[in-house]
Amino acid sequence: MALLFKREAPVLHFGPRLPKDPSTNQRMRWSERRFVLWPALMYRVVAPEVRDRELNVLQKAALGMCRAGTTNVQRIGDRLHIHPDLAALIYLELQERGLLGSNGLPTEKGRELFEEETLDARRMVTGHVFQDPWSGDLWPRFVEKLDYVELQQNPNGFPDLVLGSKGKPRRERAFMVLPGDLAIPPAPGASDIVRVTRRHRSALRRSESYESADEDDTFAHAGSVVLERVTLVDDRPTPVFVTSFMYLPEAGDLAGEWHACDPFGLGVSPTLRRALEREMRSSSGLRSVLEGMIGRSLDEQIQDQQRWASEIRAMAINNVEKALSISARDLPQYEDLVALEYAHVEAELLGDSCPDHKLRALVGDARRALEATFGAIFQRHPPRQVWRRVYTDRRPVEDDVYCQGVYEASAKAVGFHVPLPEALARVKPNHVKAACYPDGNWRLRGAIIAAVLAARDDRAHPLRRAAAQEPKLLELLDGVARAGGAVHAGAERPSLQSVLPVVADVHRAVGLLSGLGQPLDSARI
Amino acid sequence: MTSAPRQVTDINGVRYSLLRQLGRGGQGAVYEVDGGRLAAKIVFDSSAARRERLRNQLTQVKRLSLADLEIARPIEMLREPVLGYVMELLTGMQPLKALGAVPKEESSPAAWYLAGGGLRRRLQLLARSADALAALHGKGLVYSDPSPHNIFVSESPAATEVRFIDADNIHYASVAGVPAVYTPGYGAPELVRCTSGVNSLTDAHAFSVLAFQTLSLAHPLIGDAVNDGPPEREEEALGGRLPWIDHPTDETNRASYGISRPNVLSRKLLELAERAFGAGLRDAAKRPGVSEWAECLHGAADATLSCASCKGTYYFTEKLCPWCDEPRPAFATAAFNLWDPSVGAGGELLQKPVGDRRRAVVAAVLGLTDGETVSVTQRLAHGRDGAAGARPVIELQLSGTRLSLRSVDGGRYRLSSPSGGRGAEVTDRVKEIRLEPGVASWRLHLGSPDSLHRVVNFELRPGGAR
Repeated sequence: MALLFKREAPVLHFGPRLPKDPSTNQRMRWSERRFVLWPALMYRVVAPEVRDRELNVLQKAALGMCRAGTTNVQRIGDRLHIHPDLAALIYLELQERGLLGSNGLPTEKGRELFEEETLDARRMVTGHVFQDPWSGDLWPRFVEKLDYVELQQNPNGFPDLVLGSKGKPRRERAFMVLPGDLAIPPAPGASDIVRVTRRHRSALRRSESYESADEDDTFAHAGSVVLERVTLVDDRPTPVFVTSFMYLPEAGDLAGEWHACDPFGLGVSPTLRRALEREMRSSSGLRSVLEGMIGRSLDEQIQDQQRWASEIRAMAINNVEKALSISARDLPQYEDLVALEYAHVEAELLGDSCPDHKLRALVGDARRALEATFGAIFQRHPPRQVWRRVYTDRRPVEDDVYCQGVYEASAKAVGFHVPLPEALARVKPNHVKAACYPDGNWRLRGAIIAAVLAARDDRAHPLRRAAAQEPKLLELLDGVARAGGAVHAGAERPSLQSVLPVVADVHRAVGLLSGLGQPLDSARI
Repeated sequence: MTSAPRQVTDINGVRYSLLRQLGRGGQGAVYEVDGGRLAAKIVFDSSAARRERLRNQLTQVKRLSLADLEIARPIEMLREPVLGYVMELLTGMQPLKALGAVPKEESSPAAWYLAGGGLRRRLQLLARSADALAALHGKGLVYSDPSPHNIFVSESPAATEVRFIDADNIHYASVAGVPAVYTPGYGAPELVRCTSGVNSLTDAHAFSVLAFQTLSLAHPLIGDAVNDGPPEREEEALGGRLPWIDHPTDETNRASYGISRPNVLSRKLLELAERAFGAGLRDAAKRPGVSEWAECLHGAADATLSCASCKGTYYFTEKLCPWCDEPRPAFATAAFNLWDPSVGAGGELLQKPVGDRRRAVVAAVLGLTDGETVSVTQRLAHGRDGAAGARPVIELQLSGTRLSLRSVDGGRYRLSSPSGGRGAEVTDRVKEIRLEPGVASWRLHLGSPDSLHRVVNFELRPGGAR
């Protein structure tokens, strides 16, 4: 048995397009799209002309009453069971549109429009309806003129749609959905045809989607159309393809959803999307077209992301070097400082939309920048065995008060403000000891105390210079350590406003400890 | 009948509502048909005999197999009493004459020339026109009246579509004595002298004139002596009795107007013009045919670069942009050579003797401007001609020393390293290769490895100096 649909079947293009955005009244835009040629069985029929209605139900009723000689608004209201004020308003509207004369009777224009709006008087025209080859359902569309489109076959089997003008044609690669061996569904009946013409009319009115509620759909019957006048011109349908496309919306649909356009230019079509999904289960080619569209979009986003990352890094480097001079490049913790500034710039650019994980990472970067700074200090001014001051033989002193006294005495000798913040004063001796060994400065508070103890006997220690400039530096450092602890998993959700001061404190501390340039502009003074 | 009806009917009974008049000539007028896709040509001729002859002619043309040619052919004949036919509406197109003469109000002819797409686009439009004519000649038909009025081209400077209109001009070759229709200025001398009917060589003459004129903005036979002389002198010139304006020795008909020929005509195009308007003026058999024009025009268009400064296009043999004197930037060439695996290892790249040396056979050379995307078409990749030859196969983009390649026809193409030891593939994802001056590049293979095919060798070339 010969296949119903062949590659050579005519292709019709009714200009599928995206719907309008109701908030801006501008047509939405796609970021990626792929054309598909969707099969349909086309019947030539004689049916009522599809036109948008110019009168609503009440206007039509009021005009009809005036036509019958009832021109008094009170009586119109009574007969229509509406308030006389509403009847008066409708009467006025009809007069303003030139449909009613000053005597209350319909003008010639009013009489013509009334007759046109009455279904049984509607002009019958020859047009086409389209049937789904799988289900036999009629598409809710009625088309008078057919717009054929040129199709060019490529050597790889994918056809190109030739769109645009003759002078500037545009070729669009398309995927032809070829149904397998299908039997011809039963031909549509007259009432089906009338119903699709009505649904088409209401879709035109909305110009968005034909699938939302529709007052015409509440009348399943053919209304006042004389069904005998509705006929099929052809006994057998013509297999055709209609163009449509799947697309990803440009405005960044957060759900990452793709959509399909109504082939007849009336916005988005969930029905076609469902049908495409159904076909994808059996057509790997169609699925790979969709995946290609989504994949290409991701590829482009990755390129954008890379560009964004390199621009932010350039800005971060510029900020670090502006604050600490070009000599900052010689600091061992340079990359950590750039990483902190990168996260800072990115968070500020993202503003309120900065995600939680980035804010947590920013605080982590701030803490790491300080740890790296102390690591750099320890390279030039090794703490050696200052931990022994809070140890007896090989055991840590367990007397917290004693330890606090040792810490505060050293801090005071170096020039810092005492008493120390509680968390610093209660640093365990083993944490101080760990900080004195290579790679042990990952405990920030331990490293701070070790550095304070070392600075007591080292007049060239950077902490001494920093203490001279900022005696409350240890409180500032403790604040950073505290913030770092607060963003651990399960802690309260950070906000950009709560995180930025921490970054500013790190900037100030690094400026003071490195002795390079001025603290960054964003630092709290 | 001299006025058109509002509605016409074709022989199948389909009605067409006529909208605005698009053009009017001596024979009839063309109207837009409601719907925006079709036009109707209606012929106004009161002579019953001529109407009958024309109807037969149109019916015959409609039966011809012209679907693959860029000709706006009749789709349906109109029903009596109207004489005419329905054809495709050429939306977004204009006559070629719009590119052949500087408007009087134009203050800068060079700027106007560039605004029309410049040299490369003119070469491409002419090449595609020559392709269509050559294909028509290949079917044993002649167009009869090629002229800038009958060839429509894209309005957009970014597009190069071509359509011949007035399909009723198409004939089999005619004999002398039958009145021939031609546009003054484009008729071959033998037609002007009524010593011949239309044939492919009269088409070739008309095409030669319009190609020369579109490129140089000068009519090859109308020099200053004709412009300033009596009307009879023009007749003499168009009848081939005066030398052409660039005759190598006879300077009697020199033209002081037009663009300097070497700037717009490549060496091969200059040779063709010399043959067409030199010996070919008196002896039609010595004229180059339109297929030869097509080949040279395509080759010339391929050998152009874009100027980053003025956006004009010029031949890469120039050291400076002729439109703005900007030095030519570094560029690359893509040489299309032949690869025959049956020759055996080491000898696959086909060569021919040139003097005492052997050189690779070059089928085409494409110039690549830095930053510009260029398409390798079916013509370049597989030697296909006509409309099918214009389809892109691979896109190339040069960025400094890096060349990006991407397949646009869905095919996969092989890349081989200069030594042949390594391989890669060009697919629909961008593939980059590095070019170095004087160093052999990766080769792009445009066919199956076990059959004769074209290969592309890329070469980075230095810029010109001021």
